[in-house]
Amino acid sequence: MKQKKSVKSLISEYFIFVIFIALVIVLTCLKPSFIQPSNLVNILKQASINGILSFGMMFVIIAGGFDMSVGSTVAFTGIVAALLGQGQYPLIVPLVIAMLAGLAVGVINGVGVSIGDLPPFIMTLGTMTAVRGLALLLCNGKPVTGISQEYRAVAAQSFFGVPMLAVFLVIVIAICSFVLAKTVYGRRVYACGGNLQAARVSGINTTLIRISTFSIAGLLAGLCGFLMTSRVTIGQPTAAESYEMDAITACVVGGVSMSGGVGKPWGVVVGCLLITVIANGLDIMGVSSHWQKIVKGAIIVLAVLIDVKGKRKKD
Amino acid sequence: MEYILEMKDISKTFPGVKALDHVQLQVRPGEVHALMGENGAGKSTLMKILMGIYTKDEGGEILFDGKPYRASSPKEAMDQGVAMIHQELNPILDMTVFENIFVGRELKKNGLVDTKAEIQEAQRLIAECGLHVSPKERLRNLTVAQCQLIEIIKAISLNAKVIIMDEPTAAITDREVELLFGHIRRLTAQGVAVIYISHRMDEIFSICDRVSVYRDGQYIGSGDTKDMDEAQLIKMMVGREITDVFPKLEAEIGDVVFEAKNIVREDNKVKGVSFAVRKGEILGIGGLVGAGRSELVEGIFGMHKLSEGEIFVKGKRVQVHSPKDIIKEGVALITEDRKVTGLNLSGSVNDNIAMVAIEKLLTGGLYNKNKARSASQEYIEKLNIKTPSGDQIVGNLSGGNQQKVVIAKWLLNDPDIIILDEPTRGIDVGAKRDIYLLLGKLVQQGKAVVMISSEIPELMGVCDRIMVMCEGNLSGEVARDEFTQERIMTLASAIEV
Amino acid sequence: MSKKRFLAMLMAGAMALTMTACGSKPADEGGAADGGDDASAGGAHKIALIAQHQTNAFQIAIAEAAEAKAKEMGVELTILSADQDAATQISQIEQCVSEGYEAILFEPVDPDGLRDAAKSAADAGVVMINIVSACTDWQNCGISAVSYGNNVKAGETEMQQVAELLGGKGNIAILTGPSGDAGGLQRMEGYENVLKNYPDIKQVVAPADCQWDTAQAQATVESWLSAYDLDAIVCQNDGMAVGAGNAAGANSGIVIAGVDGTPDGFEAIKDGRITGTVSQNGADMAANGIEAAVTLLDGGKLETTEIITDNTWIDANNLADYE
Repeated sequence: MKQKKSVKSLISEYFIFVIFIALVIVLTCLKPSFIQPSNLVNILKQASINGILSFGMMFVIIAGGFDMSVGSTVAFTGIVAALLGQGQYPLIVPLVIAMLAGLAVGVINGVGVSIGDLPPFIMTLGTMTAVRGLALLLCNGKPVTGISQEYRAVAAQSFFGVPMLAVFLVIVIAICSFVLAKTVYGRRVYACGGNLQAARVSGINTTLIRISTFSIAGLLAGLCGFLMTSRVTIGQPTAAESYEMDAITACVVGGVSMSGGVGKPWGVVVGCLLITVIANGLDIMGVSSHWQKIVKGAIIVLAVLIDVKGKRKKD
Repeated sequence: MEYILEMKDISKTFPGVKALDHVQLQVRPGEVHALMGENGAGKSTLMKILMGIYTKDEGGEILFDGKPYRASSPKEAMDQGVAMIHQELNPILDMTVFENIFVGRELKKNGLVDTKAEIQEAQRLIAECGLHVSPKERLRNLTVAQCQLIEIIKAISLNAKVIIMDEPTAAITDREVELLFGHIRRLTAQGVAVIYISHRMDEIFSICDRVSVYRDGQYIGSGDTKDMDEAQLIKMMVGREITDVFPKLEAEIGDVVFEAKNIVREDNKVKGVSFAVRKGEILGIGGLVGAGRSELVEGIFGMHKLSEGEIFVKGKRVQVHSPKDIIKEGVALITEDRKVTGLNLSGSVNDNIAMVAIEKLLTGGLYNKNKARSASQEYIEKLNIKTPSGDQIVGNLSGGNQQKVVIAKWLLNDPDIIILDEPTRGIDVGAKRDIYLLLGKLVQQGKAVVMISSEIPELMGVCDRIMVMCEGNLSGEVARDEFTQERIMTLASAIEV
Repeated sequence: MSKKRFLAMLMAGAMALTMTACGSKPADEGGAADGGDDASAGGAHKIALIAQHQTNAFQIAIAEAAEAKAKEMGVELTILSADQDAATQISQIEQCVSEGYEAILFEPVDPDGLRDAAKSAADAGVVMINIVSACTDWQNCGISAVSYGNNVKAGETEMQQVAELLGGKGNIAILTGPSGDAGGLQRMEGYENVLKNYPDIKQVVAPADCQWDTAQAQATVESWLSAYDLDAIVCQNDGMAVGAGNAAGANSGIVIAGVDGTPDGFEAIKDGRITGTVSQNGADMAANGIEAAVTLLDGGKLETTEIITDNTWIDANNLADYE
């Protein structure tokens, strides 16, 4: 009986991975060009920005929060980076300033949620709107053109055949996984999301932990803004519309529980790849974008369903 | 130094309420000091001030180890050597045992969490406690009692000088209580002081050295337990004499009105249990936590799938697919955890009472607020529910009164068979007595009552017959004239089967 | 720039003529200034412009041109943004009516949804003018004039250019704006009108809805290029064309076309990532709309109530004239 249970829980834990592999196989059979190296590179590129964003989101959700503002933050920091990346400064300047700008948005979110005691949804909905406005204001609503060749090259170049964007993603994954699994801080992030009250009475500074998770999300959104501008070669105030939804989807599909306290980095990686592969695969097959939406929606619901069923207390 | 902890002249005012009014507490090193009082007496508030969760009003002082003491957060309290096991247990369900034990004070190696050392240390502590769980198991997969023990292990391992235990035995079995007491004695032998909050009289007298009593935010008095008896203590707590802790009203016992035959649950937590209840009878179900008592009644009530079993209500076979099938036949189940399955805590008393029997409160198919209000008022009076009005939010009532609201909700539906799962858990003496009296009145009216309880004295005091369960089986049945604590314990631990 | 000024002068001249007709002083140069004088004589006209949104270069150009024109003509102009929301736009119209604006220029967020609001405003005596796109059956819902570029024609121009560049033969793919967007549908109609004449041009993949978004277009085209052999990618705006251009790379040999003539598109034309774009001169549409409003407010008559701004194909050859 015990054996049976563990097999069952194993399947539910790795279910999303199984779906992912199945999807890859199906797509390969339907359209062999899917598995070509050039397309795999595409998938990596396409997954990178959402992937980095999802990892920031993962911290917030595991700590029991929610961040609607990351998409707007990407656009805002993308504009900042585009304005500074015209060749007038070394590239590190737009990178650092964009990340700091993202961090600032994150800190505001964190303070509003954990000190102001606002529901995360409301707080970040507010910053989502305001930061989008800030992005538009900064460039007067027009796309910012004229970024330097050097800056464009960041997203365009490859590193031993691996697109640079993916290299950034891998670095972020490595750091985030390490922090969550090995550090005291990571452990406390889980504790805060698992049971905020318990974490507080256990002597954890929950206020600081929660602020920090929003800050990480903001910081990584800033990095995404920098990369996004490099990838599309312009700073667009309207960019990254609803990217927060994609990031949340990647997290939820990857097994991060919306109620907090649960989530594994590898799950988010798979979740993010899954979303990208769906979009890429359906694009390749020439399926209309309307269908893509339906498939994406179905997968979210399915994933959460499994999450809920798997979590139900053994009775 | 006589006292390890001295709290003098402490007051705490919440908006509109004076929760503590110049109270005091003195605790000696190495003693188990009981805090007694009805719910709302101010015990928890006093302890929360000590833990830095609440800030006391101006004036008064706290001395710890002879020095002035101040804590503005639980962390500061713990750093100074004060730890607390909370009544509302807050384990982090999705974390493992070892992670829970070390949350907030993780063991480190090279700046990183030393998981290996934590697991080893947790293993040692668990073994010492006589618990059989893996340190890597998630708390979600443990029983309530096991979670509670983990919480206790956590507090013990803090190496605190004062450990506050707020209702530590509320969810654990007598065997586990004994283990816990063993730990408490070991701690006190090392000079640790334990502040013990409980409503269970027997525990107070068996483990505590001294007791301080509070009532309505006032300090009433202290004394050595060996110089006191139960009646004295109750009088101090409630401010009047309660002569009979377990009042038993005489009722006429009639025919069988409810029968369950060979109940087997699909998940095998109940393995073929049969029983019957008669009109006018109070049947107790005893046993250890995890014996399958709640599982049995929840199975009967259609909350879980049965693989076998027949249910007869008033002689009629009833097919139960969901709770509403059996509610229709006049059976009510008052569940164990009133906060999770029994109440809408943010709703009013009226709304909660109206929840089950809503069909009786309709006019022309619509919910009639006035009908609900008058029905609820009737039960507020009948059950002696202490609430300012029927519009009060249930979450603001004391545990005992919440429990009465749950019972009122079901009584309004006028059931003939009432099943109660741990109806007196976590409520104070006065409210317990009200509930015993209510059960007596119900059987006098010709209803049948089934009561699950982990407190053997309570079962023996209230029931006409006790059936005892062990590991999903029925291990025996005892009639009122054969009641002895020993006999019930033996059946519960399945020494004779 | 020069072309814009020329057009403005032309319009001003036309206005001067109409003003003569209704008894205003004739002007030898730039009748608009006179119109402005007239207006200020009886208190400056209060005009509102309700844009669909204010979040892209095209819309910003409209607002800037309208402001410039209003200043030139001496009218008081307020610019509002409906943020792509029909309900917002309706309440903004109602608000403007109650605040005593004499004319309202707006780009309907929804061609059908704004009809009633326009009608009631017109009934209240406000001059209603559509710019950029028009309400369905605009003549019958109180709209006095429309000033727009014809989206169908823009689509035709774009596809015609692509077809000629391909020599009438090849594989193409189309990137569209949000499904159901009126402008997008009209551009698509234009594409289809042209494609009828070129049976050898094949759409090898279903049009993709990329929400006017560069990044999304970029991802979609990257995926397409690993599976399809495309000769041209026809995009419904410049933002998506830039994304397609990024995916294909500079001078890829793939014909990539957009619509709008916005700075990001120009930049991409210059470095060879996209082939060309159809300029939708929003600035002129706005300026013409303001002029029409002032004419009507001054009691004049319009030569035509449907003022169409021409679209032009811009590529590397003539880019310098428009930047």
